[in-house]
Amino acid sequence: MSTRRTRDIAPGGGRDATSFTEKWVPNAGLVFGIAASILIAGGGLLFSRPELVLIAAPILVSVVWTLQRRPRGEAPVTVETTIAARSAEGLPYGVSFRVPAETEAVAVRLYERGRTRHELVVDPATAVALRGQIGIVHSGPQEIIRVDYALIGPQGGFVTSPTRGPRSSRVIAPRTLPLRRLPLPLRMFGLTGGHDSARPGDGGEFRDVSQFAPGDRLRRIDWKVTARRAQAPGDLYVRRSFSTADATALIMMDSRDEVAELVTNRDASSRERDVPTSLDVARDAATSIASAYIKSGDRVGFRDLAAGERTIAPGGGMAQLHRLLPTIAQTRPLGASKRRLRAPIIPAGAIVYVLSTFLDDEAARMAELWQVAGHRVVAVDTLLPTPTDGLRREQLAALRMILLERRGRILDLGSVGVDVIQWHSPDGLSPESQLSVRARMAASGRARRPR
Amino acid sequence: MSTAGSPPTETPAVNTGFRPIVGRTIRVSVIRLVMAAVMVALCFTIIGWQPLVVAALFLSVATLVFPKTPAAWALAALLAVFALGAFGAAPEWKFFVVLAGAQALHLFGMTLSWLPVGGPIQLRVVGRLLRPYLIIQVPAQLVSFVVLTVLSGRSVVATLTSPIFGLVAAIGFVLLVVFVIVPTLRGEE
Repeated sequence: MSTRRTRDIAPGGGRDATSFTEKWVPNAGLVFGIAASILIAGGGLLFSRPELVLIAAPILVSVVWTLQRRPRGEAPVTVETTIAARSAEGLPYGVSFRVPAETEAVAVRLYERGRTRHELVVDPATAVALRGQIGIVHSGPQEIIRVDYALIGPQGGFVTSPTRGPRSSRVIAPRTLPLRRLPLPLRMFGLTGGHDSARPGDGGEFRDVSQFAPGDRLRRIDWKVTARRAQAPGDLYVRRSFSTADATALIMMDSRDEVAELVTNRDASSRERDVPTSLDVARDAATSIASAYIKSGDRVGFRDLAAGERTIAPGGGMAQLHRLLPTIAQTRPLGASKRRLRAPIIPAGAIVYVLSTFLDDEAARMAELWQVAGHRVVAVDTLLPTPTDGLRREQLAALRMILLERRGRILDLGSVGVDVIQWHSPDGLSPESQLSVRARMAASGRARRPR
Repeated sequence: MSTAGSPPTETPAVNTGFRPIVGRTIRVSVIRLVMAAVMVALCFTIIGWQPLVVAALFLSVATLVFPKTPAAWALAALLAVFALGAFGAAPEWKFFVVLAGAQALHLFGMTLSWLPVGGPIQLRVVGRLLRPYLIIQVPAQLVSFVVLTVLSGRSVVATLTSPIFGLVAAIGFVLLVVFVIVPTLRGEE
């Protein structure tokens, strides 16, 4: 039995320290050793065979020696777990044991992300610094490492009960893909920003030349045009420009399901295979889109379609990005959500990104509603490939039916004008190139439209 | 690999270097194998091809499979009985093998009760466990030799006809020097 006290020794950082108080328990082998040596030696004395006494002697000496070196009192143990920042190779971790001096060895059981188990027995000097690397497959909140252990006393004669040690959990940040060109909303608002607006104002490109009107600035007077066009004294002409505006993007993440492979009743080896899930893809996509819009000076909001509390109103600037990224990273499935009667309200003129697997109608229905309401909607398909090798015929048939239904929903979205992109495209097209094409198409469409 | 839906885009890297590097290690399975080999060798060397060797082998298996039971010590007692020579005669080399084997079985029994099912064990830990064995066993062999020589009135050496015993003694001496005497002297310095 052990007692524990946990403290975070680096708040917000990557170190946890947990203190335990263990009890040394004598190994049953000590009792068996004493019994066997007495039995053998007793037989020797009884039958006048000194050889038996001599055979029993080393066992008895060994037991007595162990008992003499027995650890007294309780065994305070401190387990410190360190998890460093994510690198390209993985997530470096360190586990450090501080154990009593009587400890001969530490039996350690490490669990990697709650899945893979590794056992090892090391001496106390080595147990002070155990280091390794964890391959990270998923983003979001997850258990990184769990440490179970038992202490081995002198000659293994005293041990502590196996203790369920500390668990270290972290929120793994999604990967951010650089997106250089993104689609813009159909209408843009505001008087400042990084994009040209359709309204006259300051900061944008040349619009037209017009007669001076009250309110026009004197520096805007184009003297050459005035000299050429003025028909009466006092006629003045000014050069007018477009104003600038910012775009508002709203990211709608469908976190109701987290799908890795659509067919799960495969053989054991493939079940144990750890592959990225649709939510990993959605987190990557949301992070990349939010970062790209914020960096180009636009306003971004976030809403989790499953959990209403994970909503961030549209805003701009790095402070907004620092609000968005942890919220996106912490997104996880929260059970079945109710069917919405109405789609969430979208700010006027916003572009809406719907990140979903589209395995049911809910996300697609809302995307259609927003598109019909006049918003520009981009549907991001987050479903990852499902390997079909090794599937039975009925499994393959079921999979095809599900995929056909999904395909139908996606085609319906396209028919109402929703731009559909696949974050992992079958054609090998990167999300950046797909979004860039949509952005160029939209820009050319705007250019053709009369202002 | 054929796929449905979207195609595979990347293969995730998993379990890369998770196991911490702890220096020289030996697999627990190898240790169990060595223990099994020692126990089987003891059974056939001491008991020979007699019916009771089945019981001894059963105790060997029980030691490995049910480490919480006193099977190892029962085997030690059984081997001790079979190591006895004729009454009043000087003991044969078998006696000295059982003298070493009985303590080894005690060590096996103690170790197997906490040894993990799999994974590596650091060689330093194995050394820590073997050192007391050598410290106790070598004097025990010498004392037994002297005592039994005195008691039997005959030279035990005369009955130690097996060259294996000489080889074992030589290896034991080398191990004693390397793992006990040299580290002790270095520690004192």
